[in-house]
Amino acid sequence: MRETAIEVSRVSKGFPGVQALRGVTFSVRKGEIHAVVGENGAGKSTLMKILAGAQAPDGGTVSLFGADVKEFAPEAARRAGVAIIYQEFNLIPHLSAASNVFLGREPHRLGWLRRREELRRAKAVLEELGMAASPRRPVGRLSVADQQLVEIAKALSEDASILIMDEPASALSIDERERLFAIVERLRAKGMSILYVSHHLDEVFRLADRITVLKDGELVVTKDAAATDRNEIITCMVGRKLDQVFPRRAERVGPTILAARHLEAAPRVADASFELHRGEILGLYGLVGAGRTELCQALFGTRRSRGTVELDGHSVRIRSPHAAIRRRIAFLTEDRKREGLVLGLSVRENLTLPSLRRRQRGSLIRTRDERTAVDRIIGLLGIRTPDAESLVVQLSGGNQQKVVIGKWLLTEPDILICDEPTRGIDVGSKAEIYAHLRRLADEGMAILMVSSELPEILGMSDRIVVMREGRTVGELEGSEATEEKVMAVALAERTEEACAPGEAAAECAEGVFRRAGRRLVALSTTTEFIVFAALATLFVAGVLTSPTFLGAYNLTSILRYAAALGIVAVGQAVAMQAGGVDLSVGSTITLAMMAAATIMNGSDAMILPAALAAVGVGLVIGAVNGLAVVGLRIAPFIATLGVMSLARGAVFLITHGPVGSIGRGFRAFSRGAVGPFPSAFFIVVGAFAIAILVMNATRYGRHVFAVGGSQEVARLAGVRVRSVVFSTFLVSGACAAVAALYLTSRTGSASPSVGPEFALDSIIAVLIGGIPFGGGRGNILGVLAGVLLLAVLGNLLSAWNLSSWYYQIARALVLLAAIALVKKEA
Amino acid sequence: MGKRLLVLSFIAVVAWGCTAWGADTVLPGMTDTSAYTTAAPWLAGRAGLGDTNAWMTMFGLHFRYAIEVKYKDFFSGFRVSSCFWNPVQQISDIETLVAQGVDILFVDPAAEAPLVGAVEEAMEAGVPVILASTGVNTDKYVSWVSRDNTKAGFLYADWMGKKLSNGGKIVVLMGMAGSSYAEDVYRGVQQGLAAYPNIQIVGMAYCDWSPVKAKEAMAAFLQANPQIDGVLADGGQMAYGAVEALLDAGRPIPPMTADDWNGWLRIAKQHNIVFVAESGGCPLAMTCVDLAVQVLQGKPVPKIVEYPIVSFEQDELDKYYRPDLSDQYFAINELPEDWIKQYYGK
Amino acid sequence: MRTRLGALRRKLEGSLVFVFLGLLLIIAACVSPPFFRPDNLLNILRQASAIGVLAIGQTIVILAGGIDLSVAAIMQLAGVTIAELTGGTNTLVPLVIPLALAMGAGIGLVNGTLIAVRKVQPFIATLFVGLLVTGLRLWVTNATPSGLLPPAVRAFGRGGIGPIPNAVILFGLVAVAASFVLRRTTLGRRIYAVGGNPRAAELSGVRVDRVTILSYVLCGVLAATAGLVLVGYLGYADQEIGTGYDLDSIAAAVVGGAVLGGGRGKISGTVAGILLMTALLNLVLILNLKVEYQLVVRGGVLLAAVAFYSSGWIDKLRIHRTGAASPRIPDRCEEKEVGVPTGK
Repeated sequence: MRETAIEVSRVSKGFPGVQALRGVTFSVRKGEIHAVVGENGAGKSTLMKILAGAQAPDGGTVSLFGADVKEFAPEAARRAGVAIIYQEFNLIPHLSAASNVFLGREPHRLGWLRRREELRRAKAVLEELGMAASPRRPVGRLSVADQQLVEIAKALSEDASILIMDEPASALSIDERERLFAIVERLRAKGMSILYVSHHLDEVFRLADRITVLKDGELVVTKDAAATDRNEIITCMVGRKLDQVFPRRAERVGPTILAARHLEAAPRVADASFELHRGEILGLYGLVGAGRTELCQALFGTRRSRGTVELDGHSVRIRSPHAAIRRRIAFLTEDRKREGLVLGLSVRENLTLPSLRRRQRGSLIRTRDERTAVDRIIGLLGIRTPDAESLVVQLSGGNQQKVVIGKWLLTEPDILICDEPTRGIDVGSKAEIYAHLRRLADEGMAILMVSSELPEILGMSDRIVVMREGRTVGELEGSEATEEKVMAVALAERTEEACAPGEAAAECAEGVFRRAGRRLVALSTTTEFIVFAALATLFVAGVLTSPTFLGAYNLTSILRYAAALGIVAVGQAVAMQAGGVDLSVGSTITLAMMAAATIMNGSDAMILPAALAAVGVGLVIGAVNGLAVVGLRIAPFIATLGVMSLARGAVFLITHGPVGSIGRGFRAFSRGAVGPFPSAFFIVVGAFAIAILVMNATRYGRHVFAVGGSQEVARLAGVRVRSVVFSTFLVSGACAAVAALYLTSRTGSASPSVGPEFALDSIIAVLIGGIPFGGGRGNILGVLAGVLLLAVLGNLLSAWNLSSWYYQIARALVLLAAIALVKKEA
Repeated sequence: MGKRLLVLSFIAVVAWGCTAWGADTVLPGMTDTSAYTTAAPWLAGRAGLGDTNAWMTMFGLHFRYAIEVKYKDFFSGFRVSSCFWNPVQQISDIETLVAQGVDILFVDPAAEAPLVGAVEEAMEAGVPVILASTGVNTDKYVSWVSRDNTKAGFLYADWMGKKLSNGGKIVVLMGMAGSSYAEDVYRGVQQGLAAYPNIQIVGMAYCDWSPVKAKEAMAAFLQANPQIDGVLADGGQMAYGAVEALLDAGRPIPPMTADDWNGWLRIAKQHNIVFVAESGGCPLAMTCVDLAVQVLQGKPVPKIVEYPIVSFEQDELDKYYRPDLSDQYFAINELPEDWIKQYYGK
Repeated sequence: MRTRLGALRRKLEGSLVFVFLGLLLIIAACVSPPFFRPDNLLNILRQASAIGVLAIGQTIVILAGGIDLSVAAIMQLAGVTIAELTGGTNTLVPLVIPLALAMGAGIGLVNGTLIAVRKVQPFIATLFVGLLVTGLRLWVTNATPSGLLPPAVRAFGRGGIGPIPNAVILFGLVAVAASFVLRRTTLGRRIYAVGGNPRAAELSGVRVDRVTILSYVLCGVLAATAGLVLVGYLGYADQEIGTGYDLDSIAAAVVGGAVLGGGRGKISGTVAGILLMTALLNLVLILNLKVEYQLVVRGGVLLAAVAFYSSGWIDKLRIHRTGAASPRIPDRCEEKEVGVPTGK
């Protein structure tokens, strides 16, 4: 009797408007590959999320290895040995594969990363999984298949005993799939229990020991794979009581309005051809990855495409949504929250957005016309809202969808493309929407409806076109179609590459996932190189044009300026690396200087208390910043701007002139030298050495980088995001304080005129150094180059005897270079 | 012109005195500059604040004129850096200039305290430093040319006291807060007002010599005080701003103090303002260069040179006002007419 | 019921700053009667006019999802240009003023193009342009513009209609016009849409690039206008005018309810924000507090207002941005880039 790994008992889960799971009961044995199949919306994802602790069920129980799950949280699931690989990878693009594998669980000794061990362990796992690329590579530069391997490695390194894989093979080429299957089988051999969610039945039959079929949130059957076949599974997946009433189909349809021939839209649409007639509802069906949405995007002009599109017989090129709307095409996108509505605007404003042209005189909006139109649509579609001025975010899902539909109706389109028009909507609203669509078609509109719900497709469509892997592979008349037939076409054996001709496998496999914009970007490692090259160029220019440039005195001068700026820039870099910014460093410097100089008061004996006081000031201001950002949730720009103002006010309340003084010994700190090297040299080297060490070799630095890369991913990996963000402000405050000590030594006292310019200069240095706003990229080493660049630039401008304004212009141009560099990355 | 002659003669007398008494005897209050003797032509350097306002610009022009025209055979070059009032930058500038091997360094410091180290280091490196206008908290420099700011303040207060024989309420507008310059002037004002106990200061603001800030401050003071009998401003630009505020508020213009800024003279003429103007002192730059020439020839120079204050009242306005020139012109200067026309002609 | 509360909330949110302003006036009345003297109030209005026009321009840019750090530079350039090119006489005024406005528009165009076409982060792009403009201005005028304004401009600054100064009238007109454009024109609607959700706006046929560029052009023109108002008020043009105004304009807009990131905010809110800040600064002086408290006030008001706004009810309205719960700028490919960490 084998042990049971997972026991799911009468689990239910509902969301507003839809019941995702109804009393599902099944079990997964230890050491088996258990496939879960079902069409879109069957409840697979929800079930997986519950098992992974990302959601909690409304009712029922889940037990893992015999122990009931009390707490549904990602951490708890991980501790229980569950690992899940989502369709959308949770990876930090600019971190190496090895770092990603161990994110949140880095091998360390007292905070110091044991990178060799990390690399070794990652290598071992990744090689076993068959990844050829080096584990040092940033994960953003790996192919999608390799990225998936990293995810698997992550799961394995967590000593997971249950692995959940959600549609793992959709993005892979044939070879990569084979590799994946081999891995999965090996894992089973090792005793891991695997839940494999997929709608590709060939995979399912290849791998699974048992198959569970879900339909409409209910468990249909669990069967041994050996004891069943494709057809039976298909029958289980489909075939339902049609409790949904659909309007009758069209009696006749009009002429062809849109014809697409051999449409190609890399990478997901390989070859699509179909015709759409006036008065017809054409259903477009296909499973995940078939390319339906991409086809719609190509028709609407948001995706570049090749091939022919004809409207009313004339060949057209539609390159933008604006152009499409002009041609009376409307596109109701799948993701209404992200792409369909501006949530902060009212119902009225959303409804009229694409059709403002029809209600304007000159540039003015004709309010009365607008109101009339809006009222009409609200009445027509039955949008439930207290009035047209309510913010659209407050409406229910169904009503929001109606607003989206209404907005397109107001553009009076000839062609309406709708992508999942009734997703996430309650039954009642669905019926209303179906009725509206049919009426529109009867009135002559041509409707292309993409849907993953078979009943909907079958119930609504006059004709059905089926897509599979980027191609239109079948057409059925609405009256003749059945679920089985449609499914059969959609699920045919995979024989070809899922790629458009001429597309390299790696690029083709990318971008499968439809969620807007989450791409792992390709990287360039040349930023630091470019900055150092620029620095070298300036250096050479200096040597050639100024005879005293290389003199010890001059170099010392450069280093001294770089020392102060460098320390501040280090702190700023840490703050920016985590995605923030610190505008208050200038005022912090002034206050810290004042504290130090006042306490020292000319005596070397008080150096230590003065230093502590200065650092204390820096930490306090940093804490205020951190609290404002993390606690009060104020944007860092605004928070540090406000704190800067407050601190500056404090400075001026204390004094307008210089305060404090220092002793001889402290003066030597900035003026001293060891051999030929001035103290500034050691300070610069020391500060950056520490910074580089901390950011690259400690857990803390790794976490800062991860938080900048993606807070979500970091959080899921167990990184304490809020603490990390808070701490970066402490760091920048402390660094400003240390810089203040150096400046106090250099100037001999504290004065309000010293400090403010460091804020902007430090930000510029960090930007040039390759760490952009938003962080998660770049290296402190680049910041060193940035600091030196600014210092040398200042020095050269003096040496070249240019009038003062050139410094401003030069700084602007340096910034421009930074812009160009950062753009190179993106 | 007169004052410069005075100063030069003073220096000449002293210098002659020294040579008369033997080259190695230097009078107290004089700096021995024999160590700095170098063969001409010399490379001059100036670690400046930048031409950030009219006064600084004319100040800079005096330097340039002195080096490029008056002493053109003595100097091979003039390197100027501008720190925009940033003391840390100025420290770097001083170091850079020294590194470039200047023979003489002029510094108009951004602040007294922070520059101490840099100035001392420059001197230790063998570069003679001449301070212009603001000083530095050390005595390691060759010479310091400045207006006696305390006396200037005293003169303002004294004039105001005499003008307001029955006492009254006045507003005081000073330059940059925290600078010893402004502190000295204000101290002088307070000393001067001690003799006039029936004059009360109802408002005091630091306006950074900006007409903008002066106007805003004055507007607030006008709100709080229905009666203002006098405006004591350390500068024509601030006085200008104060007048704007008075005009806006429809209040009569009381006796005021200002300087020799042409814009002030224009508006004073236009509104018949009762005022006393004290020279701003831009030409002290020329004196600095005069001293530099002495220094580099090894002749002793006074440690502190007080640049005389010239003052005049509204009855002499036409003597100083130049309607053919822009507002930015300062009436009391030592530039030749062709330069004046070139830079300030309208 | 829920939605009724929602509509009420929306009205309240936009009006919160008016509540603050009202509270301030009440406190001022209790604490300092001279504050309410008509000429003091007029003074406040006058002082608020230039920065107010600037803040309105900034609001437009912020609404469209951007930020403009070059506004102070444009303002200074316009003021100085008017002084320089007219040489203090009236003859060229009809030419120079439109020229100044055109320069503002041109610089705005550069900003907008860098941001919309070259996809540079707004913070960086406008910072760069601002520095360049400042450097060029100082270079060309050699730091000392003639300063003299043509009598027409001085009269404008000095005069008024009845007791109300011209500058205030201009401020009012600009506010009304901007508010009108934002509420009643297609451009205004599109600005809100682009700021609120650029992706959805794009898919609704809005030409996002054009709208973005236009928002910066408008801001540039308004910045130049603000320069005109400022020199009119001051009666003088020098290099110091308006330093620090860029951050002040952002602060005013934010205090007034605009949200960095775009899509939320109103001109009336910005106006109230400016009045609030100016009144507070004035109060500091009237109460004879040390002028340094003005800085404290600036920072404190900003933090307090934003903390209040961020305290919760705003959350629902933000589109969930990936990584949005962080002080992170969402990537333009995902949603939009302000180039400024927007938090949330």
